[in-house]
Amino acid sequence: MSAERKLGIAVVLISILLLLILIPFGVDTPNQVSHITLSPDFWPKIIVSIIGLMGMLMIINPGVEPQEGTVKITNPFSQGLRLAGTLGILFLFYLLVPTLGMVAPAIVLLASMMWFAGERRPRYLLTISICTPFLLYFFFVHVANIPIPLGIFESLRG
Amino acid sequence: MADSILEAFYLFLTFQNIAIVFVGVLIGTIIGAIPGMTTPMGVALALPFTFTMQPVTGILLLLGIYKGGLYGGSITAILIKAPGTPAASCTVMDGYPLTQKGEARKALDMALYASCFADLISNLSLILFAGVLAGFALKFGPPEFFTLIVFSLTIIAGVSGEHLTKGIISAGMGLLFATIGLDMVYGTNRFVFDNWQLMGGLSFIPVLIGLFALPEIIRYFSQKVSDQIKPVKMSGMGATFADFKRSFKSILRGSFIGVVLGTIPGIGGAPAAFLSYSEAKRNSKNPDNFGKGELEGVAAAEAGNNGVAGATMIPLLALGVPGDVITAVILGAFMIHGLRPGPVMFVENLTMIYALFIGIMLSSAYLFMIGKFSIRAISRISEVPNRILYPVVIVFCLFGTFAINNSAFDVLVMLLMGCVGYLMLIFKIPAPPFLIAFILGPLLEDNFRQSMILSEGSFSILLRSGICWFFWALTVLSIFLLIKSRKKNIPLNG
Repeated sequence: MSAERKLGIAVVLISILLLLILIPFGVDTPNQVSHITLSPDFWPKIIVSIIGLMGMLMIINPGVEPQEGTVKITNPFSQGLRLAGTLGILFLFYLLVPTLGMVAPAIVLLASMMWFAGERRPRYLLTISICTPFLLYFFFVHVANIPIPLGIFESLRG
Repeated sequence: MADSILEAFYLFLTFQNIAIVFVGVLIGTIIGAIPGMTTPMGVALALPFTFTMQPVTGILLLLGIYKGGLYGGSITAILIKAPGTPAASCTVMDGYPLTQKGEARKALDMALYASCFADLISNLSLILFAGVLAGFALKFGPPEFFTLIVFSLTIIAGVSGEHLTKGIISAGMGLLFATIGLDMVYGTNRFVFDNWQLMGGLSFIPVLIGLFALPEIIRYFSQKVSDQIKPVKMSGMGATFADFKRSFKSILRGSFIGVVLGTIPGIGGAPAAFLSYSEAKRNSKNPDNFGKGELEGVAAAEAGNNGVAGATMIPLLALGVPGDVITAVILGAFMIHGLRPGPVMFVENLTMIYALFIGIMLSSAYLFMIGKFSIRAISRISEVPNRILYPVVIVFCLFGTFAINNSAFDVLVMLLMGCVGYLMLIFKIPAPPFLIAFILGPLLEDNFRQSMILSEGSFSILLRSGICWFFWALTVLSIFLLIKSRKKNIPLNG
């Protein structure tokens, strides 16, 4: 079975799940609606039905798979590890913001991402990973007047 | 009207506005020249920096980036055969052979002259036609707007790439994500799941940055992508006035092709560049030279590409309908600044529109200056390796997203949208239809429901006037032409 057809099946299944579970439980509908087209769940149902219909079309007519501009999976294990590492660093940043603020985690994130991508020159690693977050901090705080949290380093704010 | 123009000059003529257009064009040119970056990505990254600016200033920055990006894409197309934008792929055909012949400087100059001339023609068309179209659109009610937005959604076809079904699925996802929040008629929750942060719906910028900036970066980190930079070869003499004169017919023709195609939502720069190029070749005395380093080929491609820039703003400003992905982002920027492009804006904010026109005209002059005097420096910036560029972009994304509402929740939304965007990349589902539908979704639903309230549930209201019929006919025609063009494999992309 072609990848396009498998994707079509997945789209149809997700559409059914959305229609039967997510929309009935996720959309609050008033007891009395003057007309069906004004119901809060009318629009989501129409959209999901169209998505499902497109999924069915993909099953019936999967078409030719495009060759360019796509992600090529050559070594699934190492690629999976790299993907997990990338997403892990990004979500760790999000989890650290309430405690450490934006700047300190950004310095660590920037240095580790550059290292991860293959940059080994210490002068670039240090200057870019320290200067970029501080420059952004100064722009937002002092130019745009938007407070950027520093977390436990808040006492260092000048 | 004269009073409005005077007020517009008064509004525009501040150091901040004059400088910001320059900064925007410069940033856009740099972004366009970096093969790993795209203009929508650049506009998305710049958007959070505009929050505290005056609306005119903020929007001019984004417009500057848009215009600079269109030209910047041609620099690497000519020098290293790596088009910075899809539209610049046509410039490669004759630009790179000229570089190989040692005439890179001439090709770059001609690309600049053609870009600036076409940009000027496009801007003048915008100024001339946007007001006329807006005056006509003042007669629109909810049913007319609904049919207009339905027609506008056919632009999804233009940005769907090879798979229309996937484009429609992507648009459906965008429409569905746009329904998150409080229902507009009854005020009940939709997909909120007791999370108060979702009651106002998903913020536009985290969705935009997540979809357009993150997936490519995640792809870069998850795959071992080659980071080798080709050395830039800047050689030869510049183009002369005689060269420009020789290519003038093609530049003029290409500019008008760009304007006409740019006004139609969803066509974009690439088809305009290719059409302009093929017309130049057809009318040339030396058609065999095309593809082998013909200067007129570079001129025609760039004129077609840049002629689109101002014209895509016509439906945006006059009707509130984006012409392509970047103008969809700019529409979002207007909304963030509390403005709603469309006919009413021409009545309520005419001064601001004229101020934007002044800034847009100035951007053409800046484009010329930047292209003429800083091309060597810009082409060196394009040599920054992705292993440094992408981590820096991630930090820009994180700070910019946080700064919108001072909310870590927005950062989470951006990261999750990045994952959604990456999955879409894996499954070859195009992201632009998602964004366009996400922006147009609330307008579509709002106008539909207002129509239903007016007609007490009767669908006949959607055919109540000649304007409705006109847009339904355009929608059918657009779909018909789309199916026909796909059968012939004519490239259509934003």
